[in-house]
Amino acid sequence: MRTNFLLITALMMLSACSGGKKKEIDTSKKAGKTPVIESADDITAHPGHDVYTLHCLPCHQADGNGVPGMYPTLHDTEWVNGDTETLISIVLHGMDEEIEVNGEVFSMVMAPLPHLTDLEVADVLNYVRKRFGTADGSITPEQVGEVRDEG
Amino acid sequence: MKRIFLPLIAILFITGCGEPENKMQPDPENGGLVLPEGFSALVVADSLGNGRHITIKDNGDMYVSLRRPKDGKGAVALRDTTGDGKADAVSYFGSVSGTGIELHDGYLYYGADSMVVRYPFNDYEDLLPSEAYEIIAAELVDQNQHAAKPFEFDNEGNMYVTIGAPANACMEQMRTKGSPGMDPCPILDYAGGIWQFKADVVGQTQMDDGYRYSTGIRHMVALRWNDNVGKLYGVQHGRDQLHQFYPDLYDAVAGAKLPSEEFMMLDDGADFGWPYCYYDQLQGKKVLAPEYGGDGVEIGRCSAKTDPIMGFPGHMAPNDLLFYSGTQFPEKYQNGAFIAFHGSWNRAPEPQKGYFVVFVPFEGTQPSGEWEIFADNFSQQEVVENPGDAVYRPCGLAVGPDGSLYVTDSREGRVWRIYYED
Repeated sequence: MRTNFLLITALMMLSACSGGKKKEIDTSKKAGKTPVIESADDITAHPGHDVYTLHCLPCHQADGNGVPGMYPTLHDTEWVNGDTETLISIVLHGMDEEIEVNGEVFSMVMAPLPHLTDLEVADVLNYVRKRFGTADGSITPEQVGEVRDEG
Repeated sequence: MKRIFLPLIAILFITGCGEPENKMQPDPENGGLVLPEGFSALVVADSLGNGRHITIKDNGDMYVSLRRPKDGKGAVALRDTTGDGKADAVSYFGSVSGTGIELHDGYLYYGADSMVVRYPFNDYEDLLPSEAYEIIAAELVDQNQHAAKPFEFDNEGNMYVTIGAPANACMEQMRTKGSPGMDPCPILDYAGGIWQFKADVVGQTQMDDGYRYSTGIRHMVALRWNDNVGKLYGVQHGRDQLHQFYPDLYDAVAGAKLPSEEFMMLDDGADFGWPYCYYDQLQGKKVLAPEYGGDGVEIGRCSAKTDPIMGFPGHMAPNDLLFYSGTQFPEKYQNGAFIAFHGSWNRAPEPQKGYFVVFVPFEGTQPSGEWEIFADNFSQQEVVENPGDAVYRPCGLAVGPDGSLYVTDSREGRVWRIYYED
């Protein structure tokens, strides 16, 4: 009974998804979010990719779009593109206050990641800024060290 | 109480909207849902906002809570004046937003994150209640995480309110790898459980008037009184991040499956073990959490904790529960439980799971069979990799006066009415 139902469900979903609806929605949701990293190979080859996968992806998700109502997107936001010192500080010290990202309010805590090395923080932020943001230039481990020393 | 109303409701419904030309028609593709044979669905309303829970009056009027205010209002009232099942009167009201919403004793009760209030009606047949509310329970713990305040009533004048733990696993440093669990966990004194209040006494506070009815519950958005057996039930949001914090003990697949979302029967004084313990549905036992020295197998102090009545796969986010009290659905569904799983985020990088409504058959106080998916395809995706890709996410459940099942969506604010026809 259960197996039949699942099979039917799967078939219906497959046929439903071959129509236009899914693609339409995907396109609209991801419009304007073209990553600067062009190919899948570029993404996985970046030194920040593994750091992202282990420490950021659980909440911000593989596509960087976060979780609606819980964790904010990393795409095209001033938090990612803007002041690097603030960005480094959020990664090192976390965040426990309500913030607005692209018009949506988020209140979940962001865990601090002080156990990441200066190089890992620099790598992952450069990765995030290139893949999801529009920022030029790069963050150096020295900059991370300075923010860490400021406490 | 509810049983006495049913015949009355049926009569009202038959006389009120039995005109054949207004008969309900299912929407194309059931408004996006995949349902068992014989069931149909129509879209009652759309684009309401971040819909959460729903409650329905005996005359069919519907009230939906909103997680975030829309145009400054935290709730929306819906009325179908033509009998076609579609809401043609849609009115926003209420200055507070939140999750819990329930009609009780002639009032509309509402759970904002820091208090439970109730709106009186000038005339109970009115669609909108008064804008001025009374505060029933105030100063409820509200600390950003798990702040939603669903609530429920028994038939003895009590109200039960979820006070979710503002934490994942009561670690010394919040959600931080390597940080140990606090022992004892101080959060349990003021959160991580269900608090009992008087349903009709104005001006209570959690610390002065609330009674900790059940504890060791991380967060419980799905909370419901079962009239058939006179007991409170709920489904817990289990902890996150076993794999991220303890990759040596839990690989990515184990971290996606575990821990169980626990279906609990809540008795006075019950302790379900959070944050010290979690239920492993694959081993069928409660085990010690790694923050408290557990290795995924050791039971330790967890032998003294209360087991769930059923363990669902992890992270699916049960956001509402109801026991089917209608007679419209086939006999197998009667007195059984429906649970809306909002859908996971903490299964990544594994595919996400949930985004459906399940059915659990019941006999007496216990499930009498396996759970099964009842309503599926809310996400409109073959596989949900990222929660943001889900078009709809089921969140609230209610049974209407004719026995139809209503489901709300938290993303677009769609409301479906699911009904059965021979």
